[in-house]
Amino acid sequence: MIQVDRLTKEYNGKEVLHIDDLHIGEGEVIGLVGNNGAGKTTFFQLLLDFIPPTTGSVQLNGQPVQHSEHWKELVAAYLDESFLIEYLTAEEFFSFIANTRGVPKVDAEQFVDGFESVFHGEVLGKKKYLRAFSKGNQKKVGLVSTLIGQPPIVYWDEPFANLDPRTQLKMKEVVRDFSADRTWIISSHDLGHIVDVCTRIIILNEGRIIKDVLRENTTLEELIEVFR
Amino acid sequence: MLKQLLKHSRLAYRRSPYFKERLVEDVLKGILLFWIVASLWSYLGVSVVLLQEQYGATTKQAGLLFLLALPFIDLLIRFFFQRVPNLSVIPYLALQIPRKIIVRSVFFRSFASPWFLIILLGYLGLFAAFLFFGYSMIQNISIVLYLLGSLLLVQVTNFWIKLGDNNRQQGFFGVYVIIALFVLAHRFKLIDFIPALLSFSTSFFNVFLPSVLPLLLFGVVTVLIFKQIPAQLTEFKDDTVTTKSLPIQLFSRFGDVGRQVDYEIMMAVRLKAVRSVLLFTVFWVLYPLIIGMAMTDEDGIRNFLGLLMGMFTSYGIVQYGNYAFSWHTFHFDAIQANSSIKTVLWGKYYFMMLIGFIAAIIATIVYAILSPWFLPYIWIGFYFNISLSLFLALYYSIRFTKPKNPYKSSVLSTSNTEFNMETIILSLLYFGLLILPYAVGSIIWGPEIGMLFVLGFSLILFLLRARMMSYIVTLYRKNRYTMHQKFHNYSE
Repeated sequence: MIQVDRLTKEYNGKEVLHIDDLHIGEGEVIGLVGNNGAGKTTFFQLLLDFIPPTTGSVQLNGQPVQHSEHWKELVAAYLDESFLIEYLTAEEFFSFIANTRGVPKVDAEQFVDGFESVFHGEVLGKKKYLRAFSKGNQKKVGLVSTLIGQPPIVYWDEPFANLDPRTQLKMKEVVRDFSADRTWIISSHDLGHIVDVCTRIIILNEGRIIKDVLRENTTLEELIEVFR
Repeated sequence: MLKQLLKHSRLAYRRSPYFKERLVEDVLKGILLFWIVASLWSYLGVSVVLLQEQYGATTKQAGLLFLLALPFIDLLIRFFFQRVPNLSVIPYLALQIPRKIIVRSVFFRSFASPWFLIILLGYLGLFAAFLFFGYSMIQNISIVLYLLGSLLLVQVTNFWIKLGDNNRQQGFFGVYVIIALFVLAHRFKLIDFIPALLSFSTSFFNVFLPSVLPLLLFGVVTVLIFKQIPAQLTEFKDDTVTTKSLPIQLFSRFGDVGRQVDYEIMMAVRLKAVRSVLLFTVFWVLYPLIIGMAMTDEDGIRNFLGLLMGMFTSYGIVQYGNYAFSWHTFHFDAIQANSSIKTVLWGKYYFMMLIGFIAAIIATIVYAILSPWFLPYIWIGFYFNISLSLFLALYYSIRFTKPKNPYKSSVLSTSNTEFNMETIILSLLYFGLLILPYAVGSIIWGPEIGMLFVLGFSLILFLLRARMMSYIVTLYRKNRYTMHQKFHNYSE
């Protein structure tokens, strides 16, 4: 589904990402972990064609993201609050996202209503612009918006940060419930969460993949050992 | 989808936390825009007559030169009067929206919004007037070419912006439209293309300077705008993280204030918006030259350009004054906690003085070619600016602190190089203060004495600068909580 070939990214001559070959198949839930500056966000930006690669390519279903926009039909992403449209209310934002994905407004409303347990009554019907929401509630809106229209590929950068413990648990349930038929790439510094929800874990260090393992019972210990 | 994005642009504007301030700015802009458009048209009219009478250009040649200035003026107006604010495009980039639609919506909002349609309609109105009240081939050529140029501009932009999947076929379609319009215009004798081209070559060499300057400036403005559009649209760009670490130590030997000046230089080098402002100061300094070319009376030119120079060299200073505190949006706490405010403010003062000095040098080089008489005007204007304008810029920045994002590029940005309220008010204020002693002296004894009056006035103020700075420092201390609050509530 996602194929990365000889992908490198340099800033002013300094290589910040170097992935020779990476294949992510349908239905895989990938956990991307690494220290600050390991290249996780750069990788997401390359996946989303926000920045051009120095060499190599990212292909979705055989089509390079750089040369076509067809990947947008498959992908939904939430990296940070810049993905929100700050002057819309939550309902307006959800409705807009639904519109871009061809989901009828009523269906989208029903779908979003299903996340009321995540929103805790602080998001819907508040008549507040997104910029007025707390960081946590902004994140909830952003994450839920990626699920509207059931896109087959989802990218989440640090989805559990800024969320209260209850919502963190809820979002993990969401990943489990929705992951059956979709590919997910989740980056997080929380190794526990990553091991809980992901089926495959990739560790980036200084821009390179140093570990790529399927989740097993001992994975958490292995990860802790890597970062120790 | 384009319609929806444009709707979002409107919402972004109406729901901006600074909506009311911007509304006032827009009204002021509208008035200023009207004035500038009207004055430019009138100067151009005079230029055409001048070219015919003084340089012996034929009507056709003069008209073609008139035509050359049109796109330049148009772009200049569009640049300074962009519709604000624009959408932040990041939320849309990863959605199922073709990038060309996003580009178009921003482009439309910034350059083809109703504001500019009014200008376009103004041109069309003029065209209609020529048709009904005095049919002239030259004006028709200019208008038709102008419209074609506008279309071409849009198409070139489509090609230029290499974002994702460029629908080249659609781009080429636009070119076909342009060619078809040319053919139609030729068929119905709206333009007589080949003789017009020949006349253009003749006139180009006959009146070299007036031809080259608008062309050159038009070219530079165009390139700048087109370079900025993609940069603005792809905020996730390679140079987001500046790794330039220039160890600038030009003034550090002069103590704390000197170090602060070096710090200001580094900030200017690293902040895109500030760089843009400084760059456009140069354009602004050269702007009176174009207008002045239409004037015949030597004294008139001197008075007019000299005074405008004083105003325009201060423009850079004023704009930087706005930025002087803009980066506090992000660094206010650090500066507040680590630096002596007096040192910071003196540092800003000397840095702005440096900008004024560079602007005056550029003006000297360009204008002294025309007449050495400009020299005293430029330098007395500079002296006036360092005696008063800088302090007013600091005063205004502190008194009416407005958070800005200095990392945004300017051309399509929401609040950067555009005219803003304080720039208009301050520029007019400086101009009024400058013209007052000048008028008193020149009415009684002539323009030279008028300039000496300005010099004397500046000298008195310059002697009082320590006292003025102490007032500014007190004001800063008094206002620091308000500034802090504004910066911390900032979101854009």
